[in-house]
Amino acid sequence: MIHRRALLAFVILACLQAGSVRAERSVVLVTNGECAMEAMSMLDIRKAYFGIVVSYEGRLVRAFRLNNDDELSHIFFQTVVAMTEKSYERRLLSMLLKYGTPRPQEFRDIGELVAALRRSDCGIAYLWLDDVTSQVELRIIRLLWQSD
Amino acid sequence: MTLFLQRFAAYEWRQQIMLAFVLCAFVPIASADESQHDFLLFPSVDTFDSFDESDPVVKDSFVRPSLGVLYSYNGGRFRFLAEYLWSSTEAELERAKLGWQASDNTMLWFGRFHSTAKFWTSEFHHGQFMQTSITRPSIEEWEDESGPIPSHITGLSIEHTQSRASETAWNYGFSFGLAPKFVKDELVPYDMLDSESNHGLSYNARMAYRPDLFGDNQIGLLVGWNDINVDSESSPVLADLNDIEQLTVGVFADWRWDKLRLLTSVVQFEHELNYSTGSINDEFLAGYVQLEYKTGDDWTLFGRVDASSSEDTSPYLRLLPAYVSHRHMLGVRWDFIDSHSLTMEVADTSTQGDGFTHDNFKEVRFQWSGVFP
Repeated sequence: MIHRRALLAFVILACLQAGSVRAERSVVLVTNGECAMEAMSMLDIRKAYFGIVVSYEGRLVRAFRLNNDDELSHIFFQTVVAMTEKSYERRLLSMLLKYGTPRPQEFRDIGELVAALRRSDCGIAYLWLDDVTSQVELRIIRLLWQSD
Repeated sequence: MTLFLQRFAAYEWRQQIMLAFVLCAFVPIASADESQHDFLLFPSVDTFDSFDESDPVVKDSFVRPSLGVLYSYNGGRFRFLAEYLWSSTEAELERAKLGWQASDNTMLWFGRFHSTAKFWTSEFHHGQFMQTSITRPSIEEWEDESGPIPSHITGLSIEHTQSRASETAWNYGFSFGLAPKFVKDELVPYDMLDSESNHGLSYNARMAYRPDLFGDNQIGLLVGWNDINVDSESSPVLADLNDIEQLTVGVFADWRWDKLRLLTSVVQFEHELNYSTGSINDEFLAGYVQLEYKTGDDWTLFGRVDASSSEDTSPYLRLLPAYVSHRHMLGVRWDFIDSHSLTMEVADTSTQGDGFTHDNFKEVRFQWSGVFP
């Protein structure tokens, strides 16, 4: 009986441990390896995602979005732009109408997003840390979000 | 190449400028490594019916489909923006301008643009879906809808934004260029392909404070000066009138408190109407207050008062008989499927009229509007 309880406790602890490993996820801001940008303030990140011009050593910073992951998008709206998706989309529409401000390019495939980042001068994108580690061409410049 | 230059030389100088302008717009396409095109469609269908008119000749009703097309190109530090409007009553290139990002905070534009000194006009342009109400405030009306202030200027404009670490911002705008002319009973903007010019100059400035660089709230000042040349032969009313000098000084606000939104602008007008026999001075105050209340995610109740003071005796407004001097309007809007809306408005309206008294009528309007993609 004691052995069974010990086994059960071990299984529960193992499950909790596994859960906590899954929960310890991070969202990071990345750029391509050739861009020398070391860091970026939250103000400049927000500007870039609203289409407002941000440059680094004369190179325009372009923002890219991956929109195939609801949880990642939720973190983006909550942490980066700090508004609802509807308000954000309306704001981008308004700026395009007024100033011709380009909207951040969206991708549903991470491979296409990484390819666009590689082609860009100093493009930025937010990604799960797990997805970045397999992309040697990308460089992390800021931690945007981390699970508790 | 020689043939191209020969043909180019055969054009009149204004057409040469226009052609060079269009060609310049494609230069960044060839040179930029990263470029982006954006394309928006703003379709709408309006219905209008008047009733209870003070004069039977004011009676009107119509159904008007329209389509606004916006194209934007971004390549490096160059930008091109064009806006075209088709409707059952007109087809016109509303904006066409080439921009250069002089610095992260400063943009220079050359071409045809909407006046910097008109708040609503430079906020919503022809994007009908983006404005809550069907109608525009009377001082924000387009030239061909008896708008009293020039809307379309052809020339140069500068926009500068000064943002701070606190995410507050100041926006500054200044423009100068060719103002519209006064023909028959309306202002007529400069046509870039029209060889007949004789347009006066227009100078406009705007300053706005934003408590949040990324938000919609803003409050600011507007100043405009327009030298409006007059086609004296286009109407007996304009006989001997050579030009109109117009100064406008105004304030505006677009502010949200949770579900409530306030849109307002008040403008002081001063005119000098220069006749062959002498000059007449004229001044009046005009403005609007629009309140909007979101009752849920998709429903908005709104109302607006357009009012003027001392406009009854204004010699300038007497040249614009269809100018809406007073309007009390209520409306409701339903947004659905993200990018569509149905709107209804009812209003009690007074237009300037031909004589010394206004024409009055009630009006009801329905509209579907949308934005794609």
